Amino acid sequence: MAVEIVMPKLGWTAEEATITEWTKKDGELVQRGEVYLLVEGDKSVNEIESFETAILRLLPDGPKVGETVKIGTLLGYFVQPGEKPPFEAAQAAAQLGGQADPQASPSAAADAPSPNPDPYAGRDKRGPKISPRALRIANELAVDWQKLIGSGTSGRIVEADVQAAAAAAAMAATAAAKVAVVQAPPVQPVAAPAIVPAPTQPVVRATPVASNATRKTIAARLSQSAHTTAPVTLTTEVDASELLKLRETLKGEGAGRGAVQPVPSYNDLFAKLVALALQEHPALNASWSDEGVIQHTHINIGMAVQTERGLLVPVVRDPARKSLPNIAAEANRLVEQARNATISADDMRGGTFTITNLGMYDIDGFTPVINLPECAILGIGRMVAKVVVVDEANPRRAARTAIRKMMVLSLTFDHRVVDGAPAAQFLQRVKKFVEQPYLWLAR
Amino acid sequence: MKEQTYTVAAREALDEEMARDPRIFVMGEGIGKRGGNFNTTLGLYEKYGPLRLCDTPIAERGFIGLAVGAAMSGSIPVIDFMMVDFILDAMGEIINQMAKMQYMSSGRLRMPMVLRGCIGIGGAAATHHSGSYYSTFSNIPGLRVIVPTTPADVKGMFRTALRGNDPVIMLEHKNLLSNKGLVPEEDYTTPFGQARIARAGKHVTAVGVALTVQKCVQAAEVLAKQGIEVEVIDPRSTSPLDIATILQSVKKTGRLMIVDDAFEPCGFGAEVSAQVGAYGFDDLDAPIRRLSGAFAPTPYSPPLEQEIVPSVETITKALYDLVKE
Repeated sequence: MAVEIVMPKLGWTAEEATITEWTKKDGELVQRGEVYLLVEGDKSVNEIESFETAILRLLPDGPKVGETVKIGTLLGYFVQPGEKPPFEAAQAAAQLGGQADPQASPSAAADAPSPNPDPYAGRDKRGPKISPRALRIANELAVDWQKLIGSGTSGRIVEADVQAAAAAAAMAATAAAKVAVVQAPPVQPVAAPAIVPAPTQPVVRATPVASNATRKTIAARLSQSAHTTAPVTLTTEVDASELLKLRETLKGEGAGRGAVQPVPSYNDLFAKLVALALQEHPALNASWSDEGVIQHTHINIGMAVQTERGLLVPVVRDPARKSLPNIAAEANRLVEQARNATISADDMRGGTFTITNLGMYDIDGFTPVINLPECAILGIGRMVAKVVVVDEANPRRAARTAIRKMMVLSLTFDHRVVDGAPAAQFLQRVKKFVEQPYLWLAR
Repeated sequence: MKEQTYTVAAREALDEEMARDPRIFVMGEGIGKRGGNFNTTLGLYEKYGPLRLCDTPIAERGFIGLAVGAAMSGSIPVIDFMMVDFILDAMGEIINQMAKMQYMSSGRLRMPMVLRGCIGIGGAAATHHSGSYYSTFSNIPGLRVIVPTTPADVKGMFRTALRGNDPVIMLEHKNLLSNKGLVPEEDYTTPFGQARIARAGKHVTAVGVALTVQKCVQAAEVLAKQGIEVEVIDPRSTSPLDIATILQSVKKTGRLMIVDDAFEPCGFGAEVSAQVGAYGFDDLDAPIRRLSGAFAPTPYSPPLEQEIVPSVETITKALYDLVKE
């Protein structure tokens, strides 16, 4: 299928950009990852890479080199070999219409070579058949149903197919946990995410065909994740003693007047401090889109939650601006709804950064998988008492050993979107926020 | 609770209501001393006498007109048609007078009356004694059309009809008459416009009418062994129609089949299908299907007669295919 090439949005506030150079010619094959276009915007020239291996076709009357155009302006298409871009397909159709002259003899028309050897090619444009219910659920769960294979006897995509694809997507998004499971000693009580379709499925759907489709989708999602991101994981050990103290203090207050209720969990504390760190490091609060990198103006934190349906990622909205009790209340609701399967699709959409916590399973460092289209994910390890050297850098005190609550943080980021140094700076800031909560609590 | 047949439960409702309300009387052919062709009034003549169990000549239009006048002036007539096909001779009185008079009089006149008769294909009764006509009557504003399927429902709905102010067409499928079922001892009524879930399920919804409710339940039992759970809905009245219960079920199952002995074009299935298409479109996981009687006059031949209506086997197959579709 022809894919539109539009002027990408290069900066947060960019409204237009200039074509500097087409590094590939019209009709040339572009490999995935190859630069095909240089665009200037916001005082810098940006290389635009292809996401797919495809043939570049430029719009004949499109913007020329040196021209400044609005973001989103159509520049051309990527097409597959043998495929015509829409502007040529439209011409061909117009010529075909001209040939259908009522004066022409029917036999001559029949003898003329067909411009399109496959008379049914046009049917594909209608896409696969899908039931209204399946379409509604696909929209609710944000499942791309165009790629699904319908299991209905007429080939129709039905609800079961969409649910299976959604389950597979949830699996792929949280494959991080699976890595951890592999690394963990066998005695640890970590359940593998369920890939069984929801129990509401008709039993006749549990045919080999349906389960194969699920398996295929899982494989496709996982390889897509592996092939499209350039994941790098940074780990650092942090001293979480102050964070522990903060939480214990809040807990000690009990439920009395003025007490912080509900008491925020470590995940809630991390949602807040990570969001505040993202405010200072917006490069990590970004997404890939067809237009290029999008830096989000809002910060919504996804929290990986283990449920019977598999791992789900409910999203806490704007924790940077919310109080800790508000975050805790929202997270409690989301986690409960995720666990009893009443969570709405809206509550799992719109995340810009994800945190995943395997501390309860005695995991230290791990390599979480990026929850596309986000560009980074923070893995939280267990909190464990260790003997460490403290005050070694403090000129007013002598270095000494102490027992501190230590924790490993693992940040996986997509190197396509952000470079290593800014990612490391972000993680450094998170470390500081964990070690000195007063820095962000005072805000 | 006591076990009764459909006929006995209906007769008991009539008997009790006649004892309670002296305005109620019965008219029809052979309902006096003979006790009704289907034993609908057996024993009541001895109890209430010839004035309240009034045998009529074969003149439907005449005695319906008479009953309409009686209802308007304070009586509660029950017209027993044996076969509902005979009612057709009186359609002018029914549609133009009985159904419209309350409206024409701005409600000053009331029309408390019940027209009852047997419906359905079965027993080699041939084409003059096999009609169903619930779709026909449900197309007329001012009529209430009830199709009870169990002894408990026929008793409760007959009571509701006899205690109301509107003309009610009560259609009894002749193959349900000898069915037994538990009937509450106490004085209860069953409202119109409230469907009954005859069997709960989650994979496909089957809406039956009259005898096909029973056939759908039997088909559901067959399919349950294969892990397919059919939700069977008995609307109990086709006017008013409880579409909410059907929509709720389709929301759960995503698939709907309407099973109906009567003719398909412009029929009950078309009405249910159109409403679910309009208000439940986004819940549908497959096209709505109908399984109806053949669009033909009913043959006399018993094997042919059975061939033209949905059977437990054809319903089972159709539901299975719909679940897979």
